[in-house]
Amino acid sequence: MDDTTLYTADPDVISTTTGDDLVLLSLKRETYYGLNAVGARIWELLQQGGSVATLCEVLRGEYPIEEEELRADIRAVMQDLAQNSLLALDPAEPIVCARLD
Amino acid sequence: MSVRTAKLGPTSLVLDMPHFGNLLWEDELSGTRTYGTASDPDLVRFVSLTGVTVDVDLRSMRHSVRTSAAATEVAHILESYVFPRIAAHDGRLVLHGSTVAQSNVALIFVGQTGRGKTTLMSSFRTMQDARIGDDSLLCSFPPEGPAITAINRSFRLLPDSLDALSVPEAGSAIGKGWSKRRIEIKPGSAVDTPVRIGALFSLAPETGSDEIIISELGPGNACMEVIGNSFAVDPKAAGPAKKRMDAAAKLVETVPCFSLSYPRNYERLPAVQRAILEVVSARQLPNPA
Repeated sequence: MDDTTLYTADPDVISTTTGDDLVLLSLKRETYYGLNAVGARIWELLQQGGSVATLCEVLRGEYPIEEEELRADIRAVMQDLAQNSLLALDPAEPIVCARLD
Repeated sequence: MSVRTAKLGPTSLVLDMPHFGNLLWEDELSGTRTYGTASDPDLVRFVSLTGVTVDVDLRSMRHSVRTSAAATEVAHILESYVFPRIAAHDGRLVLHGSTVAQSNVALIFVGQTGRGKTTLMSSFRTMQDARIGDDSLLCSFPPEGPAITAINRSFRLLPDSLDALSVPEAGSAIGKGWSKRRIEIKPGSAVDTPVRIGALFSLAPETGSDEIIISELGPGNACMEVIGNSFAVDPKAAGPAKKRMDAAAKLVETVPCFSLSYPRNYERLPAVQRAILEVVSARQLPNPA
């Protein structure tokens, strides 16, 4: 996963909070997912869209861990979310076009 | 960290446009299909049981039979596959599980088919003044805390379980192709009014050992177990799904939830009961025994 690509939470996913955890339900896949407190915070930020890099900027002020470790954790969560089709490319992300000729 | 994943539980959805209405869902186990039409008052029709219809209003569910199928087979299909989904159609939380209640406290056992819910419930029947409920349980949220009501007035067991558990009633055969027998729950023995939920146990797969393993579930995992063991007419309908998820979260906020794995050995059931009641007692939960 590229650290600068912007993603947003898939709008076809609904959620509920229980304790510090978040439970997600993908209406497309009829599958539900559990996130711990850190994952829940990442999901919250992804409602507005973000990349590994931009989320790392925000979360650096919230979690007292080394930046590289934090970035790796965020990347791992976002990769999990992406693999489970819970993320969509942010519409704000510029589309690169290529000519076929 | 990783994302925990699970499939939805006793739900099934096949979109189709048959000539007699819009198919809302199809239950592969029973061959039951539910259709929504503007002109036809029947909510449910059966592919394999022509002549059976179900009429529904806000307060009751009635069925009429114009078929040669055995009445017990029709009743079984309605109770197991249709009524729970109708009860859950607006997002109310209906659990696929069994319950045993004494006084004003109920224990709930949820889990996939074959995990031993009904066997465990049946083993508790001999408790004094025990009331039971099986298969589909409606959750409600009165001010004093989450409560449970059984939708069905019967339960189903394999003949060998009836013998091993010394169930006095022989029950009735469900129909062709069904090995279980259907036993009516007598009036006064059913959880037919809301009873406060003391604890919920999610039955895990058998480990193959003789061990009885009970472990407390965190709220996230408990919520996923509850949602995974709940009924829905259309799991993809966002409004009811959100209501169901919020109800599940509300349930696990106040009701202690545990994972339970026990050996499928009838002789071990008294030990399983003791282990469950010890957990309830250790947590100073209202003890149903």
